[in-house]
Amino acid sequence: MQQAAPPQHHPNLPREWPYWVGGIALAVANTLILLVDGRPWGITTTLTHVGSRALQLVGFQPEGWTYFNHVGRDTLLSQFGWWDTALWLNLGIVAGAVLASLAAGEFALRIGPRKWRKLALSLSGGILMGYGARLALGCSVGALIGGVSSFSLHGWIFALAVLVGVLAGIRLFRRLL
Amino acid sequence: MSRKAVFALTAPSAVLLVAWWLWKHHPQTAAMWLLGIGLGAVLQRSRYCVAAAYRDAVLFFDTGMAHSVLLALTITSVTFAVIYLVRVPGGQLPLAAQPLTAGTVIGPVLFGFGMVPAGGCAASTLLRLGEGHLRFLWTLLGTVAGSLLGAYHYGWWAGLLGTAAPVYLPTSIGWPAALLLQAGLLLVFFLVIRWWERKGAVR
Repeated sequence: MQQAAPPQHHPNLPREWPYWVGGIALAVANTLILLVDGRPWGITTTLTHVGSRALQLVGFQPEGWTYFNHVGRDTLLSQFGWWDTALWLNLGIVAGAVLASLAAGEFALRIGPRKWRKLALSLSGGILMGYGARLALGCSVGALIGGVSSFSLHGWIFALAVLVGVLAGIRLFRRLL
Repeated sequence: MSRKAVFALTAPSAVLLVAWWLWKHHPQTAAMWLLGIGLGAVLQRSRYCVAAAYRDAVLFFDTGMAHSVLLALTITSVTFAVIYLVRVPGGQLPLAAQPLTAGTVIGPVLFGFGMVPAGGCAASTLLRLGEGHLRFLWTLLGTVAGSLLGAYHYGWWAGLLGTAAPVYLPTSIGWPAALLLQAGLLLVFFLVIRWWERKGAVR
């Protein structure tokens, strides 16, 4: 299972910040994101848009799928472009993690996974997460955190149902990881 | 110049240069880029991961992350309520409220199942990638592929039991009841986490 990299001590920053700091930062940032963008932070809707644009480039027509036509205004593929706010929010998240880990002396390019088995686990885990997130219309960020904060029933259902999946996953993968 | 000084000069300049370039095209996008940088940095330092909130609680009785997610949800329940009260006219739905289908229940189960082999949720995939763990490129690639497959199949899942309109509590039951229910549900989650902690402490 993924463990945090062994932190190296750096005189200017504490070894790592307590969890509650992240919780408060997430609440403050998500409030600002809602104010600026009209919707909270979400990741997988953006990934779906990016992937669909790539499919369009190679000749597929995802814009005809039910998903893009009957779900909601924020799934419209035609509105997605280079200046998409959610796309740059998520690019910023990655860049912020690069900068913070560089500043803390933790950044290191780790090529991997070196074993096929681990690669298969990463890839299949990602496929399951992506597929599940589309059915749920959001991931642990968009549907759980954004949905619950928005008083939407689908968020609360996500918070409960994801536990069932985690329990099943732990049961099955405990020996593999 | 030391490496530290070079970093202290170049990193903020690069961030601001991108922000300035975005600002020229779309000011909102520039604001989101800067918000993302700040949030990504703090979440990286505090090792944020929604998958870990569930996984570490279940496996190790380590509930720190679960409490942190609950703390975030408690704060945003208040701030989002204020924003929606002011900005979302009565009877309308915020963008974040989503319709309900069979996938509303099946989706999170598959998502939770996938978080285990992936070693993180969608958010920590982005954070670990930023730390230089290229292994998470495969997770990200898988998530994009899975998202496309899920979007392609969405119609089938929606047809399975039909589609119900989003249930946005303030519209369904009114603001006072919605706030009470929200507070009650958050309290139930808190008490369940505390109960689980105590169970772990006994072991």
